[in-house]
Amino acid sequence: MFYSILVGGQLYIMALCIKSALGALRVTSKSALVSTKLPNMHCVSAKLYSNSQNENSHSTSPKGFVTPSPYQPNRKPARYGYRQKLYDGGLLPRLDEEIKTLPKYNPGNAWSEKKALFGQNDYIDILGDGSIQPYENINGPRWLVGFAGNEYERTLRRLKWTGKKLAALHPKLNNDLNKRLRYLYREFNMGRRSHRSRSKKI
Amino acid sequence: MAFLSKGVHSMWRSTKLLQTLLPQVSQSFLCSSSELSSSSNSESESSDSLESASHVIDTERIRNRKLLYPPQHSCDRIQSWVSTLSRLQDDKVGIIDLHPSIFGVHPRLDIIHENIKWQQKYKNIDFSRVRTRAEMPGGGRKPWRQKGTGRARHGSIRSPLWNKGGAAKGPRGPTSNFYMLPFGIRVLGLRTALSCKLAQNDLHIVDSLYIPAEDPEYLRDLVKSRAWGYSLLLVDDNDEVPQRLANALQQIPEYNVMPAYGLNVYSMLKHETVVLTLSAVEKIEERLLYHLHRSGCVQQKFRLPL
Repeated sequence: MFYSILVGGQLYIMALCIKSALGALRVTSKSALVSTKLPNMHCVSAKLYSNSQNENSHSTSPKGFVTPSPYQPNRKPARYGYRQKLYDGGLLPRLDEEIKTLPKYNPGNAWSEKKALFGQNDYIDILGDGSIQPYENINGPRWLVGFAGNEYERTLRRLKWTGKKLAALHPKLNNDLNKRLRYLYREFNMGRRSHRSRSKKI
Repeated sequence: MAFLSKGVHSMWRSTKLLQTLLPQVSQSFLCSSSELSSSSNSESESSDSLESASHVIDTERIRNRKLLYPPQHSCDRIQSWVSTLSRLQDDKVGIIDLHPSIFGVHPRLDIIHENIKWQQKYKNIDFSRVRTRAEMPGGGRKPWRQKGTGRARHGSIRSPLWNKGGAAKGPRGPTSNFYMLPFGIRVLGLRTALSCKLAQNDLHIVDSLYIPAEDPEYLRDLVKSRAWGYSLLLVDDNDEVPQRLANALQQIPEYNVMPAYGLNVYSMLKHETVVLTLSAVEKIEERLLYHLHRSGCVQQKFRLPL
């Protein structure tokens, strides 16, 4: 079990070996490291630091103990807590990242019931007894079934079919449709000859 | 017999050959149909022969079939084998005449294209809609005065120029692509599709939709042994599908069944093989010939009843 302790701005790395459970407590600077939560990059730098410190200090200090000296520079792992975004791990593949690719081709089911029977009863007026017309196959608002027109015609037909209901239940929509109808009437008709002012008439 | 059963569709046009062979063919059918009911035939003693004994093939109806509006010229004669789904082997139980103005028209691909496009379009309703500046809330106040601020002049925060402003010329409301293809073009589309399918050996006629087993493997084996391809469209005159067939088809999405009035150009092209029952052939011919020969305007314009 390893614990790292930060005391007075200096990082002392203490290793509490499993043997310490028996009572043998050893404090070593050589036994490197490491808080388990740090990413790999910081582990590397911490290792380097501890090695370099060993070369300088261990020749003079007794083994297993580093004297806190005022002449020693305040050495701790460079840029501690900084997460580097750039990868500096060398020429290795980025196995921990998900590689961005095209989305997997996922075709739809061409033989779902809806697609397999698409078009059924489209010729029912020919092959049937003639009582049903193809436009009755259409699902949609009743005022639009079997009808195609421009926006003005559609709005007019919608208001004609459902105007009273809209006025009672959806006054905002009813107001918007009426406003739109007025706007479209002007848009379509005011440029025409019959709507121009008399002075401009040719 | 062997070469006839292999390439019969391609040889229909050579009427002389058929006319010489027909007496022999009809005799051999008489023999085979009588042998079907009796179990004395050694070849027909397969596992499904006993089950198909309950299914009686109406050979009289096949033999006595007469065309409505018979063609005037014998060179127009078009014929097809009638087989059965009640047996795994591709045994022919008869041969029938088909009407040349239904099953032998010129392959007009433009007509088929028009029909397919119509089927895709006429039912389509586009519900996409975006709000205009008039329909969005707010925007009545001028955001800043006209002069003196150094900023561009604006009159409403819902102008199409603005972020979160209204849309100019966006999709408006439920829109319909409805149109009706002329009646005659649609009749011709059905005739052309049937003719093309027949000419390409992709249209087969069976006596009924009776199958002896509801196991889907039976149907798969049958289709595989007859080289009917990936997908299959069964057409019957009746609304109701036999229980066994329904159970089998429920497990095979590529094989579908349709009533005769539901037949259409898109489905005929989507499915690799079309199988018509004899009653479906009669129904389809009757309806199409009625529209070809009836009085009145066929090309009348569609008007929505209101």
